[in-house]
Amino acid sequence: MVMIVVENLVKTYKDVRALDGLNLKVPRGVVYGFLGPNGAGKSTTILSLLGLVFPQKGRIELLGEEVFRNGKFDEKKLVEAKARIGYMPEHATLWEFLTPVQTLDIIADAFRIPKAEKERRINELLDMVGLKDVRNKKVGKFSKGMRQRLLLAQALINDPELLILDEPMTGLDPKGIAEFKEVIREQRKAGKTVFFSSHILAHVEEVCDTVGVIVKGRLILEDSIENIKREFLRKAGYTIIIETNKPVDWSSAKWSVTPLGGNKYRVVAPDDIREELHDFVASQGAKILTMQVKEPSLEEIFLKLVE
Amino acid sequence: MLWGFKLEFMKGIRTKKLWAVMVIIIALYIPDFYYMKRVGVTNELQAIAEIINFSSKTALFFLGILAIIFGAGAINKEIEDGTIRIALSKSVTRLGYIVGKYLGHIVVFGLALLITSFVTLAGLQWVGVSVSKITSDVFLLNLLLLLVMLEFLAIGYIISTFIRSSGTSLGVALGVFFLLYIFIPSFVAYRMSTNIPSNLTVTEYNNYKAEYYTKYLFYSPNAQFIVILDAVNNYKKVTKTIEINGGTHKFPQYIPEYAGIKNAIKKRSINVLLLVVMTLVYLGIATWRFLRMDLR
Repeated sequence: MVMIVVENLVKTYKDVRALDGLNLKVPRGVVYGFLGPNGAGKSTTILSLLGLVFPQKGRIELLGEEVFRNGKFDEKKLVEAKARIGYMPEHATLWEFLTPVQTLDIIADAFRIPKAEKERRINELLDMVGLKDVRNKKVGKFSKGMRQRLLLAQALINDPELLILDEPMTGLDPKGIAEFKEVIREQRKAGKTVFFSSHILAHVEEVCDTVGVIVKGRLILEDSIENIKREFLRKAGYTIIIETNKPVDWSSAKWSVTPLGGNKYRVVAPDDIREELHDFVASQGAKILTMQVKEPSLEEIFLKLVE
Repeated sequence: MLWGFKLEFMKGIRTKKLWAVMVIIIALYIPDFYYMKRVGVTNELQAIAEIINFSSKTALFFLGILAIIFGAGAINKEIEDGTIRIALSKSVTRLGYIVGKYLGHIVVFGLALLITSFVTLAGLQWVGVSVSKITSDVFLLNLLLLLVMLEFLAIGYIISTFIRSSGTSLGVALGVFFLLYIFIPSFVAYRMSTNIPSNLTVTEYNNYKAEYYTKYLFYSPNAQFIVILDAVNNYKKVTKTIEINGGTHKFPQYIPEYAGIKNAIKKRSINVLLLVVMTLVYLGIATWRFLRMDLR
């Protein structure tokens, strides 16, 4: 089953076109990283999925049910779908006058979770996000990191099939980030789908199976991280750093070569030329001592794409 | 619907909204009780007249402001904080949420006024007034105050759904309040005074005023409240004879006879109905807007 289908979604705020015919498909069981620069339309997409903003055109399917078509939400289907979705917003505060237990208790009530199960789930989640010791402390006294943890816990209270996270790791310390990634991995292991927007590309790279890149309200790229890198390398060229045992004359080489000092060279070629490179160096009576293929990070690819 | 109600009710209790309403009313009543004790009010009719006088002036003003301010931040403040995005990302409809929220406010205000009624009765007993005959009137008076508060609250909800910034909406709410509470009623009262027939009895004057206010101030909760309370007394005409310079002159005089809040409600049922209907109209406008607004 496809968990999220978005077709030709258009959303305009006054004179700003936030979504410009967005198309998106998120299959079940994947961790999908939704990338884009600020103002690209990431949050608007997520808010549209949840019926919190009203797109003008397009179609949205959630968990196999069509919840939005041509400017109108099917409220009944949307509410049914939301019962199986967990959402963690960006920049949200929780009700400051409540404790974590009270917060999760009231949110569990929105899903009509039976009392015994609710209590078990609350204890489990508070333990998981590391808030067990402050379970009866008012949220108003929490640090940003603690609030983020509670936001994650509330998103998981209904054991959702689809977890939507909007910039979830913003404000977390390194320990928190590591724990957060672990939670995402556990969700994937349990067969859940995670739709996850972020601008911290290293996080996306580590936990996501597939990424989609949105720029100016349009999805300009959607693939597995491996395929994206391969494609990027194909277009931008392979960069190989080599070190030889003696100087090499590159005048007859068909690649772009930059000497880096000593017997170190940077070679840029359109394809993977590692074997040819060995042969070329050997033809000059030299030997390659070290060879390093420089893989682009997702960040480099992203910046290139956004440019 | 019940979920939105539960959330708002918890908020009302835990954010001390309930206590704020109560403390304000009680703090306002205390000087009144002292005044009654000092001048020696022991008659229950005098006491209820004093309470009504206080309600229609001081309490009405402060509770009206409080209600419109609570309403003006009801939705947009939650959008600013992001709590509404959490709430409505759950298995909850928008309609259920706003109606539940409003019901939560009704219960919180209702509870505050109920407790205030008991405090009022206790205060009157402390003054030395026997409250057995006026107990129901104290409760009915607070019920009318509740209706006024709920209408102001619904007006606040409209402001909250049309103005995104909670700071701006607070200013607009105060502007709207003074418009509805002072400026428009003053203008209507002035227009009425220029059209009013002469030689009316007090009862005729009150009826004329009620008709005028019903027609031109149907949207103003405080104006309707005043019109209703104008009917708590019946006026008996007596002729007074006064001797001036050796001659006798006869003057008509109107003696108020307390008829009770129940009687006023019966007499001004249209105005009570207006309080309810206009609340529903305002709430309907706010709901209409809320069902269409982007919550980003």
